[in-house]
Amino acid sequence: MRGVPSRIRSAVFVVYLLFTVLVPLLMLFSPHKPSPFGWQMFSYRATSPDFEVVMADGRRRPLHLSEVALPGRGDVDYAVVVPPHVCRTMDVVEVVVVLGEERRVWHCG
Amino acid sequence: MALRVRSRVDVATVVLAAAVLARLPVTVWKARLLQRPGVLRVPWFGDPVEPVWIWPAVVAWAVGGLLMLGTGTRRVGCWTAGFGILGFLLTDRQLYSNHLYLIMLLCALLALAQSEPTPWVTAVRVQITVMYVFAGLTKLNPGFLSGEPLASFIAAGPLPIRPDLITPTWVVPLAAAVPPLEVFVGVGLWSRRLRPWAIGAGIVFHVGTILGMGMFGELIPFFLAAAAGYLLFLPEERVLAVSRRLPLVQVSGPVAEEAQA
Repeated sequence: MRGVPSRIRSAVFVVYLLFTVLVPLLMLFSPHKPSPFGWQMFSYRATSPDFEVVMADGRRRPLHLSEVALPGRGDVDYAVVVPPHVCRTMDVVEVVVVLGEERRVWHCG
Repeated sequence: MALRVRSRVDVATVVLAAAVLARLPVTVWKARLLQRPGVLRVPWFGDPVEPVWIWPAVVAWAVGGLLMLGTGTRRVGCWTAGFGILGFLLTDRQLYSNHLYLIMLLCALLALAQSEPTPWVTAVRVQITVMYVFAGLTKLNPGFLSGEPLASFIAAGPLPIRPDLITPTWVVPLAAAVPPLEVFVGVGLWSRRLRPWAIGAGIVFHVGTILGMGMFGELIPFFLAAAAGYLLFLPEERVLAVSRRLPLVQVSGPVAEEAQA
């Protein structure tokens, strides 16, 4: 940045510092934990939901996250992103998301 | 072939290059997982990016990491590796990692610090402090302080500890010690008096996490990236004096000549 006027260089520096501090500060108060860009590594127990699929012929089977996704990340909401993906890519009619006691049924098509 | 360094920014760049290169095996593994047919794709925005675009990013990352080692190519190496990592991270949300994000930011800051050390070395220091302080503050939650996450990480780690020996008696106090330790490392680095203790605590923390949790391909590069940041809290002469004693490192420039005189 040597050719850049010093006022602009200073502005870039200040913006960077604000970005560095404000982004994790926002993430600290985000309702979704852990959040990316918040330096929240290993702060929460990774609790990926369990899944169950109902095949076209009515058979049911558990679906492990590793069958369809990369190693689970706490900041990805798998309960939301996995069912439509499974409906698109597998011959199933229903995807059941098991979150503790709660069971959410996702009907394909 | 010796690694030539003239300043602590050079030494920090070489250490960061080690982090960049050490992180590559996990990267390639994840990139290959993303190529599997039928695998979930989670875009940051809009439609998923074709995973084939990940490979130019990985190549840039590797080439950049190597260039960071060479004299005269460090700045371009930092930018190349930084943009490679950025491209990799943007391909899919499942590829995000705080450690990788830190390495990417440090690549950019050290690229800028090559030509203009004063403000950007300060930016690296602030970045390291922010990372530790927020890592500590975030752990002040009932879930982490219950010791459960830590117990599950230790149980899955490489230490041969029987599961029935991972008890709240020692895991809960250990979990309670982690947030103040991280905040201390981040803040203590700024104090001349506390700095040796902060660096010592940081090393204990990183070695402890590596031994306790495993995940060597991710946690060792994280340690190296943090160590690159520590170096920029130390006086230039000290960093270069220690570097002169290392094999394969050749210190040159005004400070080295002054030391020899």
